[in-house]
Formats: sequence, C-alpha cells, structure tokens
Amino acid sequence: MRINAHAHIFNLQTVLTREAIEIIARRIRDRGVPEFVVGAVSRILDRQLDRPEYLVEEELLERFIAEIAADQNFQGFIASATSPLPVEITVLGGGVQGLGVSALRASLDKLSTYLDARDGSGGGIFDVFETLRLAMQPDIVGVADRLLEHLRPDDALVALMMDITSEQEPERDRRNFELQLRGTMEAAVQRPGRIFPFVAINPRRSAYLDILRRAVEEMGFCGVKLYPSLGYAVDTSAMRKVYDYCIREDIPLLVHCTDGGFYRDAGAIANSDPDKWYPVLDDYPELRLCFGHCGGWRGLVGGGPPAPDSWAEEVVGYIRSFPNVCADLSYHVDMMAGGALETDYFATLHALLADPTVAGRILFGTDAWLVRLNITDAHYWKYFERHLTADEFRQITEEAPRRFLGLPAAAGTGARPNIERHLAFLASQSDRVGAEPSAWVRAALPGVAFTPRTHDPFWTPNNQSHFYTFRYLRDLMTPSHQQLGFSRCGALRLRQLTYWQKEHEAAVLFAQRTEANARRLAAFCKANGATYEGSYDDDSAVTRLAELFADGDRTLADMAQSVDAIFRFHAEVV
Amino acid sequence: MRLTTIAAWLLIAIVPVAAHGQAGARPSGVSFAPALVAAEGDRTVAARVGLLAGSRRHEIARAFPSTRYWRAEARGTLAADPDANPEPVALQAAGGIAISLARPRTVAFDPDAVDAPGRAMAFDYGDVSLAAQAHVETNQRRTEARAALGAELIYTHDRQGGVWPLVPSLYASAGIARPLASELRDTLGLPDDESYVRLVAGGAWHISADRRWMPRPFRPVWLHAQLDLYREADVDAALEQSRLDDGARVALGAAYRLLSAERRIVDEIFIRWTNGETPTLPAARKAWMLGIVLAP
Repeated sequence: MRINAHAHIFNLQTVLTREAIEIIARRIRDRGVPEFVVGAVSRILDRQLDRPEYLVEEELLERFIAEIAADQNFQGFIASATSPLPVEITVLGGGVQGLGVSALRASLDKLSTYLDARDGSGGGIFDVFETLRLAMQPDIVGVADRLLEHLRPDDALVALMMDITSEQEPERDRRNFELQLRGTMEAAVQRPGRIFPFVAINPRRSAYLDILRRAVEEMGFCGVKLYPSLGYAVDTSAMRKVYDYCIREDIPLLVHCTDGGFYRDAGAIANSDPDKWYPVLDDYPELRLCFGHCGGWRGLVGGGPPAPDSWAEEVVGYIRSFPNVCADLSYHVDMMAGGALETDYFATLHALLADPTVAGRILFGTDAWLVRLNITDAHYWKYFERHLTADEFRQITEEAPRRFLGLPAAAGTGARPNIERHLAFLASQSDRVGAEPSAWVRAALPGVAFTPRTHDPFWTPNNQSHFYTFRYLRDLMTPSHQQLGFSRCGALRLRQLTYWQKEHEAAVLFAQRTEANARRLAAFCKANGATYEGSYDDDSAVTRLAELFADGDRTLADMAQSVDAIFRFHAEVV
Repeated sequence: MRLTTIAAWLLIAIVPVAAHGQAGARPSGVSFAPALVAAEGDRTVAARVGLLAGSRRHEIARAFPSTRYWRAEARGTLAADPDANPEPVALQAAGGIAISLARPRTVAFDPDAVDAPGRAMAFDYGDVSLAAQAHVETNQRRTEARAALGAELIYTHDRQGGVWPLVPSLYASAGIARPLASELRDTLGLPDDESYVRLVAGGAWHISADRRWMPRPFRPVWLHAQLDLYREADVDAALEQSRLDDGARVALGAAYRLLSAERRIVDEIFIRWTNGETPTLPAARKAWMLGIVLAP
C-alpha cells in the first residue's frame, strides 16, 4: 500500500469564509497568476459563499471566462498588450453562454497558453480553473474519489482538514467547519482504509479541545493537522493541551512548515518557522510530528546536505534529534523545470534517504488538491517515481508513512492506538461503508463483516438532497423510468420527464410547468426539514430551481447536486 | 369556422438544445432557434426568437406554494421571406399570481426505502395562475395586427396516472381588443379603430403510451393534441357576416421519445399536423412538421 501523506479532500464549500477567500486569492496571486484571474476567482468564490451552486463544467467555464472578460484588469491588459491577442481570444469580450464545453475549454486554453508563453509566470490560468473544478466538487467524497482514481486500489491518502477561522466567526462558517469535519469522516467510511482523516485544530476556535476529543474518540480521526500561519503560535498553553492529549492518546500531528501556502497576514508566516518547535519538542520529545513540506523545497537544493540556515535544515536537525519526528515532500514543484535546481534537489534527497538516521522518516506527499495549481496529482506521483530509485520510492510512499501513521504489520497486528481507534470506528460503520475495505483493514479486522453499499457519491440515497430530489422527480416519470429504480435514474435527463412538453405546447404552459415544479420541489424539501444554504431564500431558491427545470439536458444527478447546494438538510453530511 | 385557403406546409425544425436553454425560467432571457421553412414551392430560412423580462416573488407555504409575478415577452418566428412565415410574432405583458394546488408529504429519510412506493405530494391538483395582461400580435408582414387588454388564466398539470392524461392543460384570455392593422378590414372597408371583445383559449393534452399493458416497442410514444380557439364579439356586422370573427386551430402530433437513460444522438422524433386559423392568419392552412430533438 502506497500512501500520499499530505493531501486535502475538503471541498471549497466547507472552507469558504470571507477570510478564506482573501487567503486563497493571496495564494493564487503569490503563484504569479495575473491579477484579472485572481479577481475572477475571488468573485466566483464570493458568489459561491453567498449562494452556493453546483456548477457543471460548462457553467463553471462560462462563469470563469465571463468573469475574466469583465475584469477591468483584463480590459487594461488587452489595451496594453504589446503583441496583438490571437483572434480566438477576442471571443472573450463577447457573450460566452452556449458556446459549449469544447469551445470554452479551447478559448481558455488559448488564453492560458498565450499568457504563459508571454510572461513565463508559471501560474497557468488553465491550472487555476482545473483547481477550482476539483475543489468545487459538491461533496468531500467526490474530491477524495478524484484523488484516488489514478492510484492503485489499495493506495491511500492522509486527508488533512483545514480550519480558516476568526474570533468573530459567523454561524454559517461554524456550520461549514462542522460539515468539513463530518464530510471528512464520511469519506473515511465510504472508502474504508484508503482515507486517514486528520482533524484540523485551531486554538482561535474556543471549542478546539472539544473538537479534538470528539474527532478522535467518536469520529475515527487518526491524526491532527496544524496550520500555524493561519494565525496562532505553536508554543502556547492552549497548544500544549493539544500535545498533552496527543501524547496521551498516541495521536500523530502534521504541521504546515513552509513560508508559502496560506497565511493570515505576512506576520503570521513566522508561526510556521520550525524554530518555534524547539521548546515544544524539548518538553514533548516523544511527540509524533511530521513537518509538512519539509520546510520548503528551497532548502533541498543544496546538492549535498540541506541548505544552511534553511527551514529544511532545521527540520532535518529535528529528525536526527527526535525519534518520532519526520517530514514530507509535498508541494515541491519549482525544481520540476529541470536544470541545476532539479539535479541539486535530488542529490540532496538521495543523500537524505541514504542516511540511516533520516531514512524511513521522509514521507511522500503531494498537497493535492492545492498542488493542482501547478501540476496534476498523478504527474506529481510519476515525477518522483521517475527521479528516485524503486527502493527510495517504496521507502517514502510505503515504509515511512506506515511508521508515521502507526499502521499494523501485514498480519494485521501491531497497530498503534490511533489506528486501533480508527479501525474500531470503521467496524462500527461496517453496515454502511461505500466500498470493500482495503486489504490492511480486512487483515486487522478479520471478524468484521463489511457490507458495502456502492453508490456513486454524486448520486446516493445516503445523501438527503439526493433522496428527496429523487422522491420528488419520480412522480414526474413514466412507469418505465420509475422501474429503473434510484441507481439508474441518476443518468436520466430532465427532458425525459413528463413535465417536459416544450416542443408540443404554448410557451406560457411550459414556463408555468418549470416554475411550478421549482415551487413544489422547494416546498417538498422544506416540508422534510430542509433550510436554505447561504443567503438563499424562497425567491432565489425557486428562481434557481426553475432555471434548472428549464434546462432539459441536466441529469437527475446534476439536479440533486444543485438541490444539495441550495438546501441544507437536518442530518446532512457533505 | 371557415376554410378559405388550404395550404400545405412542411416545417422542419432541428432544435438546438442551447437555444432551449433557460427560456421560460429566468425572469429575463433571450432564446434563438433556427429553422428551415418550405411552403408551396417557397423556401426560406427562419429563426424562432424570444425576449423575456420580468420579476417573480415566490412564497413557499406548506400548502399552496405561490408566485406573484409580472413578465414582458416578445416571442415569434422571423423568416427571411415574410410571406412564407406561418407563425405570428407576439408581444405580451402580464402580472398576476400562480398557485400550486398541492401539498407536499413528509417522507421519512431512509436510504433503504428510497424506491418504496408513495408520492411526494399528499394531494396534487395541478397549478393555476391568474393574471392581467396586455397583448399585441402581428404577422411578420404587419398586415394583420391586434392589441388586447384583459385577463388570462393558465392551468397545468404533469400527471400521467389514471384519467389525468385526459385532463388538458389550459390557457384562456379574455379582454378588449383593437386592430392595429388589417388588410382584411381594409378590403371590407371597415374602420381600424373599432374595439371588440376577444376570447382566446387553448388546451393541450399530452398522453404517454408508457403503460404497463402496452407492448414495449410502443411505450416510448407520446400523443400530443392542442386546440386553440379565438372568438371576437361585438365586431362589425360585415366582419361577422364574413365569419372572420372566430376561428380554431388543431394540432395533432406523435412523438417517439427515447426511454433509455443512456445518451444518444437523437432524443426525440416527432411529427405534427396542424389545421385551422389564428387571429393573424385567418386563412386556414394545413401544415405538417417533422421535428428532431438532438441530444447534445
């Protein structure tokens, strides 16, 4: 089993706050992406925060391109471009609705290629779009599946939550964090043995210790994620309570450790400096701690040992001094351009992996989905596999992560307490898992009978929005379609339902049908306990639903995702 | 009703899905669908266009969810050759209330029972809307044009069980009308400033052949019928004598709508026969239409 020790499976809906949008925009800007793209992304996220929507690829493309075209910076860019834009790009100035996915993708691709060639920024617009597309999956299981689909059936990933919060947190943001917590847990249940959930702890949240206990003791979380540059120090009395708990319960921690990534403000970057950990590790030498990003890629381009005075040098120093400290290689992309940087980077890495005091404590990680801003997760895996020996690659993807996580031996014995608790949690959910458990879970739980319910996460009766959408739309089906049952009905399109008589009656009748069904579906959801997401109300929800009912090409599964974006059901799990 | 002229029409409409788009749902929007029209040796290209603006106020009550609204729309077919255009162009403004005669049920959330029988609505008698409206309708040559002020009633339902397919979806409007232009009236020497009472009504039936007792090959078939009537009262005696004050139009059609859940190239093939008059096309015409709805 190979393990990606540093990945994120939360979807944007569960981390979006005003502060998060600013932080995300800053991160994209820091990657060298043009300002008009940053503006477009910010406006899309603002709208998503206000009124969450499920956007199929075409809609997201339309919105992305339209936002770029409308951006004043883009207009200025066109006016000031030293070389004339290719003819194909001028389409961006006009309407983009109805262009179709292939035409929209081609337009975006041309613009992206043109800009990348022009300024060599490396922050490809197309990469930003693909990142958005991945992150705007309607649920967390959907994101996890996108990251797992290119891996082997038994490969796994460590799913690190993120908690971007502030002291004056609105109720909506608190609920979104709860959805992220429950959604990450649900992903571990739906893909048993392939998702190792790590709960994000942020002491700026008053109930952070309760969250930690609940996640570990009741929800199967097997580790803790810290992100100090989001605005907190690591050596405080509040954080020491976390370390006390982690030592007592044998919980591993993974801490963000690079001067890049997300940060609350420039001053908060220093919170991620590994230097801050000296007093902590002095007092908690047995702490199982992984420094994410190994302090940053720059420290590993010395060609020999890590660069002097770099964060990476400090991290490697900890590894040599403390038996349970390790580091991961996530989001190391800048050396991928090749040349001396790449040569030096791998010279350093080969040396570290050959060092008996460090070997076995360097973990492979990609930082997916965030790494998609530069490269796909699959290419990240392939890149490292190509540049390391088979033994080295096995060491960082298999042996080191197993040790850090505390996984059992092949015989299923020897798991550490955090994994024992995770296994016990999976056993308690054995009747509702979404797939056959991984081999290591089956070996560790030989007496537990798992009964997988294999549903597409985009269309599952376990999701209340999908359940109620289907129950409503089933009344609009002819008997042959009703007989298909829930599973197969997800692929039906709205134009196949009985209300779709657009080609055979006066326009006023069809208009009334679409709006009437929107009203009824909203009433049905509300009658069954749904409330509205974001700033949706009766008006905006019915208007949006009527738009969807008028789009006959939409599948029932698409419709259910949209209902999921508009409504929040009582026991909803993202 | 009077059939003065019989013409054979063949209208082939390949309807692009993008043009279907959101028309009819958004308070505002534009729709566009090209078509090829052939009539008595004439051929011309045409486009069905629509412009819609409006506002909605929805209230989702436990029973009888409702929408108060106003809308303004322009809708019709514009052809390169106006004489070959069988379709009218209409401008309409309306404001009123729409009510769902339905009440949703409470259904316990149980993933294992997702396919259990039971309807989503405790009762469901369709949807009705009542509105005040102003209406202008013309043919493309603008030789026959009328304005009307009155009220409209629309009733729709989507049910296919029991006797429901026999219950039509209806629209009706009644009000005061006034000709804006009329070659016919000019021919008869009638003044154009005459107002009269006008009633327009229509019904649509959609009957699915998808019944348990129906042989499987016929289940994808839908039968469609549409009846449109107009009646003008208090018109000039000369006009009444020439029987131009009322008319009816019938459309009968059959469609083969593919039942498969998998995507195909064609979603639906339909054939439609129409016969009769409309206020702006008072000469009755028979027409055939063969339509293909493409899957995107």
